Amino acid sequence: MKSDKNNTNEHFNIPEDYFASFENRLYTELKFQELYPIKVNAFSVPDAYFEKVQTAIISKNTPQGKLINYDFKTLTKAFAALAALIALVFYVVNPIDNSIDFESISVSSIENYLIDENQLPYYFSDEELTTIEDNTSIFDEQFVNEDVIYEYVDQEIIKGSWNADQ
Amino acid sequence: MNKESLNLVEIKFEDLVSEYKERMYWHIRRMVISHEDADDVLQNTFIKVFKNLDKFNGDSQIYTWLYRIATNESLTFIKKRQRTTHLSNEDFQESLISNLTSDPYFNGDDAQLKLQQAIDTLPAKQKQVFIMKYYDELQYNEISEILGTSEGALKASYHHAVKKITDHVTGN
Repeated sequence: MKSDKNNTNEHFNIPEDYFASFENRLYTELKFQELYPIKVNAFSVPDAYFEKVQTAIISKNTPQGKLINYDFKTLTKAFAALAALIALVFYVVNPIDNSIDFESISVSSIENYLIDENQLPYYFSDEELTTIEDNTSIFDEQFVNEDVIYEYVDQEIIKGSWNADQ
Repeated sequence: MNKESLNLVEIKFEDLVSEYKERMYWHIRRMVISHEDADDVLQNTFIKVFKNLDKFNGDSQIYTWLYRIATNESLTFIKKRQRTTHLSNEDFQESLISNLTSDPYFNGDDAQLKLQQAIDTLPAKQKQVFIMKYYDELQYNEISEILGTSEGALKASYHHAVKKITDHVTGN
């Protein structure tokens, strides 16, 4: 019987430096096992944890009802329709903006309000009212004739002026 | 039974949870360390399993598929936590260990604390391989399927991990 060990295994190959690395790995493993001969699980869990976690996982992953699968197109169309409807309601009814622009009120409306409701004394001082009277319709072209002017001019002033002329 | 008929076998989610929850928990726990974090990651893992159960094609064994999801979820969790704490990798690992000493769900003695410390100093890949081989007692071919790494590379990773742990514990 041949004793040449190399010849008996000539058809098998091994990685380069296998035996050197084998020894290295073996002694490393032995040293580790010497340090930690028994495998210990140093971690623990709360009481009945695994029963509770199973219930929690299954309940979290149980479908609660029929799911409707909305695609992006349908959602976009629905939102667009809703937005258009809201815009239309605001345009027609405008439930929020009740403020009226001053420019949009006609002058006659303001005049009617002030006169009908007898609001003039609340909004104007006596001095302002005098100024208004001095500068408004009474001297408008349509009223300017001698009779009207005569009626509105203080009679005492007329008499005084008459006497002075004499 | 051929592959097509295997795919027709209905996998019940409740059975998966019942069968693998503890195994997945311990795998996750050794990665994320604290019980509260492990609980979160375990639930996230099974939520992902539930959502993708119909996509499981039976090419791998169900538990290697579960391990892959659990490992990815753990790594994602660790990275997210690291980002929010703004700590370097070393500081983050140190914070995990310092929390461990006050963790009511850690019963280890000084030797176990040192071992855990040493494991936490390992690079992520070596840590995964060590946990799967030493604690989960998986075969290299199974780890290879989970991590998508060759068996040769896994053996080298495991060897480096054991050497680093031994050196750390003995102070070399």
